Amino acid sequence: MSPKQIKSSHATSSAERREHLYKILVIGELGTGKTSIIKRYVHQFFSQHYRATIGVDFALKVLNWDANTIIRLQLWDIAGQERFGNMTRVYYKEAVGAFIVFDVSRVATFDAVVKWKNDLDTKVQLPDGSPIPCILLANKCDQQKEGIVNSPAKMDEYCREKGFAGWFETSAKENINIEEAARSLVNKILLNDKLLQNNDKDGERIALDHKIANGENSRDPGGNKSCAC
Amino acid sequence: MDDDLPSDFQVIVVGTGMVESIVAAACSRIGKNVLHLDSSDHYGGLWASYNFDGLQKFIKEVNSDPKRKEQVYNLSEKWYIEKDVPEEAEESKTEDKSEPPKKVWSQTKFAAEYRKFNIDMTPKLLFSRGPLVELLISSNIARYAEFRCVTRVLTWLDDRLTPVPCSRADVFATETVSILEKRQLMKMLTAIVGNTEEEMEQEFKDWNEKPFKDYLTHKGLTPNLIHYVLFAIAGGSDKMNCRDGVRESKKFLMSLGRYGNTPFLWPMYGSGELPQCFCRLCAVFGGVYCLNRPIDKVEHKVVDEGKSVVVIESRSNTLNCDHLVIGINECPKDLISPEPVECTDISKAVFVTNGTIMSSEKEPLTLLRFPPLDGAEHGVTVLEVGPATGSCPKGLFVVYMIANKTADAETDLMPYAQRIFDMSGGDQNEPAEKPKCLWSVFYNAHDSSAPVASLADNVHVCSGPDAGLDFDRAVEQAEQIFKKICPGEEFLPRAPDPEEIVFEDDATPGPDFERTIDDEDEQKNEE
Repeated sequence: MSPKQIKSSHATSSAERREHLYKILVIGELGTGKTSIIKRYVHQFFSQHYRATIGVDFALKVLNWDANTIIRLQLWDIAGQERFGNMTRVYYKEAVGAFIVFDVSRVATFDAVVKWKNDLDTKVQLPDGSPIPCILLANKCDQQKEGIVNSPAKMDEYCREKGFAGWFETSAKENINIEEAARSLVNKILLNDKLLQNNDKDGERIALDHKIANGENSRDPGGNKSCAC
Repeated sequence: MDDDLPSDFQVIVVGTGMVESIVAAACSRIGKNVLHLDSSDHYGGLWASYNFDGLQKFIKEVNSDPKRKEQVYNLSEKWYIEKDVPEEAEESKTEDKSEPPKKVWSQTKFAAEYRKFNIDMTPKLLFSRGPLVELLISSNIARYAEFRCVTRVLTWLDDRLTPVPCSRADVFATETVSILEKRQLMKMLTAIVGNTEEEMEQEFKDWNEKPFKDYLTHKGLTPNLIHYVLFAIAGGSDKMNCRDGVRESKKFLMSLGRYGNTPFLWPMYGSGELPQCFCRLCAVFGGVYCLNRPIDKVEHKVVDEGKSVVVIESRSNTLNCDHLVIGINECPKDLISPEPVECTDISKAVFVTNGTIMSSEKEPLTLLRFPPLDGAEHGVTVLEVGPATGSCPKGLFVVYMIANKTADAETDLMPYAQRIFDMSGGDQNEPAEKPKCLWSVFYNAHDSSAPVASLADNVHVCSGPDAGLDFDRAVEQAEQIFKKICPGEEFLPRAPDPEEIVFEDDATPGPDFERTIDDEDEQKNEE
């Protein structure tokens, strides 16, 4: 995956078919159900005893948004490994949207939300310097709720105050509102599409490609000498 | 964020410098259970890059924390611009000229754009065919990083900056070298790249210990050509012996023609990105990360059957591991063999300027190898990076200088800085030959790059950064440490691409993942 593709969300207008590739972060405290949400959304299953995947940076969800638009969402999970919130820049860079997840049954996970939001806003911005759209997920809504999540009006106010683009009560277990939350985030991201396209990178960044390198490495001795001098 | 840390690991890595991070990634990649800690709140240790705010914190720390002073000393920071620029001063200038003048920078404007700076503590280049590039490609960690080519190699000749012709095209295009010299240079470079081992042996057998300069003179090269080869291509000095000169020249020449016009690559957002790429791979393969986590005590315990473990006290936790990998800057003194290591410290400087040291059509990315001036023994390595590398806001350049320490950083490097910058402050828009220096910091860094023996077999101490141009020694040391921890295992085999698992909208539940582990904590909490 060349990172170049991530931001460019290139549109092939000649065929009238648009493809967007968006990087979305899924963050929040340990055990709030981040991985479950991704699994439910991407793989359509929920397990109380799932096994965490390792060796994979993100899950890919392909959406047939409308007749002419395909949207590929890369969902980057912190996967419990960078569980103390110490993600590398590699994780954050070029993200265009985020979910912050808390567990409605554990108020401590809600208290940490503002810390995650601040962390997100300091580490990644849109090309114009504004924060990336972020939706708050009140997960495990099938369980007993604690704190202000019991009052939708207060939650609305909280989201306005803290700069969230919205919030949803979700349940990965019962498959509640996950599609809706994703749809809402994608809508917000699409509003920034102009901004993202205008920021297409210059062509002089190099990704070290193993395919190119392999071809190039099987160089013939004569060719080698001529380019080395 | 949750501080509930498991207590037993196969490998604990302390410090997120380059060597530590490569070892962490390599261990995690082949399935070792890895915990990676750092005492500070950011990645990279001595190899970090900072935004302008982070840099100010670093400077404060160096000036106040005695532990930091062991690593960094003689630090002096200086501004050459005003705290604030009155708005009217800016406007009146816009009216004067038809073309917009350069932005007038102030300290406040630096602060306002602090996030756009990425300033490296250990700026280094990658040789296009060097071991780090090969490792990034073969491990597929390359997907986490992007690079830019160094666009030109400069030297200082006859009291001015001169581009060094390095490719065949350059040699023929250059006007500073005569036809005869061009032939000589090509012949020389061909000889160095060498045909076979035997031919090389034959050519250099009587020269190895003699000065490289003498060999070049013997070959009939003109003084200009000797200057190019010795200082700019080999990065040497008058004293460099022929063996080293040939080795360094060969490394340079072999890396030509892969990615750009010069043999070098510079990482986007700075060298400090690279340790993080290895950390990300480690995390993706299950490594647990915890920054801001100083260790208080390290003990070595022999358990039954002669097996030994390392026990670490960190905050109130006791952590056990089979192997401890620890950066020299994080390492308690009693873990290191007391033999003194002979080393020369490093003189470093960073400058922020309002233009490039030598104008060019496109934004340049420059390596300047300054030959020793005023009778100094060693030359100075200069790197100039611009906004396109993500190092600074538009309109500025960041320039690094690195040299072996003789007196102190400022004394060692100021003469070189004065040759290429206007250090006098004053009107930023006045027409000038040289770019204005707007801000500078000079400091000495303790050279902790020599390998250090630890007092126990399962404690592995990682060196700090060296004064060299590339990361080769870090890669080499990381591989050695990995081989000690995991004998017989492959060093960073290729990681699969995420595309290898794709779920369509209406797909049935996907194939088995390549490798899975139980994540007990998550599982417990999900229930």
